[in-house]
Amino acid sequence: MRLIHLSLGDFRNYGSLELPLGQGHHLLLGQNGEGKTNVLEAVHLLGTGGSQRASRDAVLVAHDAPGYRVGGRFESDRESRSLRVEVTYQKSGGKKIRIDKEPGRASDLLGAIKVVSFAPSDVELVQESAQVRRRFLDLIGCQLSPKYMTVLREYQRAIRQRNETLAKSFVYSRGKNGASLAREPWTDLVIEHGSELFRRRRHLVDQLSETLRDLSEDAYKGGGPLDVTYDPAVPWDGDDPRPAFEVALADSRDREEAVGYTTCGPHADDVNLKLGGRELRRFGSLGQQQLSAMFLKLAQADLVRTAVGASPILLVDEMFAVLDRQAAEEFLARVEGEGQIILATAQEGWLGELRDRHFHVHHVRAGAIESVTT
Amino acid sequence: MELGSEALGRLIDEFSRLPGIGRKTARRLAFHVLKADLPIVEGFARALVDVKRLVTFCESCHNITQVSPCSLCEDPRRQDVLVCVVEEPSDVLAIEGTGEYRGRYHVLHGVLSPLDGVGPDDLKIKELLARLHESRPTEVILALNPDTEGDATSFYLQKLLAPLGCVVSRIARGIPVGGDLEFADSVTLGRAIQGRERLGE
Ligand SMILES: [Zn+2]
Repeated sequence: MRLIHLSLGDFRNYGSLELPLGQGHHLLLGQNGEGKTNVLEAVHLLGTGGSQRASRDAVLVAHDAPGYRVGGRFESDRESRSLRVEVTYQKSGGKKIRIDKEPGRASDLLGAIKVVSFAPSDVELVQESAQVRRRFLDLIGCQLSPKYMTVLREYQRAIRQRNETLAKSFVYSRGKNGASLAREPWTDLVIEHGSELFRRRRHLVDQLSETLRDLSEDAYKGGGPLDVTYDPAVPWDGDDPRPAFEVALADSRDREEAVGYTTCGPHADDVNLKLGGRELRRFGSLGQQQLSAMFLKLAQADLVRTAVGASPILLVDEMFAVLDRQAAEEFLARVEGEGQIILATAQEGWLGELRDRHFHVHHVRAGAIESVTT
Repeated sequence: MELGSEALGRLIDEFSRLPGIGRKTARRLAFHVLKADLPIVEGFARALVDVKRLVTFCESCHNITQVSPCSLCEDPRRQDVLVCVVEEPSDVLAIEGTGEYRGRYHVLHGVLSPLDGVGPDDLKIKELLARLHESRPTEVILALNPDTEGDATSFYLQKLLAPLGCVVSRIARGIPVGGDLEFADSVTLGRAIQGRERLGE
């Protein structure tokens, strides 16, 4: 799958942009702050329905504008039919997704378009809290299977509803045992969807672990391999997490009533990253952490490729800033034979190198793009 | 007064109280009323008052009706042994549209949703229990929408109804995900009712 045309309206620092993208890979060259990353962010938005940098859509809107528009035309490797995707947002009216002019949802985007984003901030996957790693896992899960997305969404909805009965138990405490009676159906749903989510995450981490080991075998000069293990909020034996989850929820009852929310469940999961058997977060050097984060993203691309039988679009932001020359070249060698790459950098030193690798060059300056015709 | 008329201002206020109507739309509607012919406006006003005066809820099934008990509850040809539980009066219409169901109904007027402040006491659940204790049907069909809230409400009712000893079933999930019963086409919905599954076995 590749992007053949990108169009932006009032998005970040772009007033209006029409960017045709021909066959092959693309290099966005420009100084920091000129708008390279915003282009990658827009393509990521088309593939996932959200931004990896901003949690609110309002910040994506260009200064003073009422909303933004991001449109893309994609072409699949196998069929010549193109797909038109549009995400629009109005400060007053919210977000709308259209796929070939039909209204759609984020899950439709995740199903139709596969993107994998690389950025220096990926190191947060190693360094930051479990929430960052859960989001990463869930993104892969949703890209691999629409069912994963359904389970995740229903679990999150059930948890929110259940938390409401914990936070406001006084409202529901009419009559004897009123509060716990009112909570019961939500507990049932949390157990049902939560058990399914536990099971799916375990399977996902197993796949990720296998792929990571293969990819990173020789990359750490004897320091490897890189491995990832699942650290579920409720450990279980055997195939079915349900019995263990039921017990854990029952045991945490006093605690959750005191704090006012559900304390145990897949929303408290984590994964452990280990390099050569040692915990990467605590013992890895910054260089090792950055390299590992990159391998996590490469593994994501690999899993998506295997699952859908086509390469995802790789959005690569300033990786040359965090990888040494050799690692950067190895990275390029790994990915260049795959699907479309859109790469952004401020380092002109790479220009010759990337031209040799058949990257089309686009100069980015102050929210405008000048494509070099070859 | 900015509009030069206190009556017009009041009408705009009333319109803007309706769900989904902002100030701007309310003003447009009010000016529309102002331009319309008097008999049309009088008809509209009468319809508003009549709906409040004449339409009421059936004391038995809680569906909307002009006479309580409603015609569906009174109809001797319908089976008392089947009771179908739905969220809204519009769901009764949808199921009637299939022609596949000849039992009685019970309208909950919503589903459990703590986030919206809706608990069991806010729905017609006590009324359902009282009614079932009396009429003792052989089967209760839960025909709630297949979303998180519909699921939770079904779980809740299933447990509550267990002591009655009747069969509790749910309509088959042949309905498109996220699709409300109201919008499911009648063939699909008809099939979902016929293919209903027993719960708790
Ligand atoms: Zn009735």
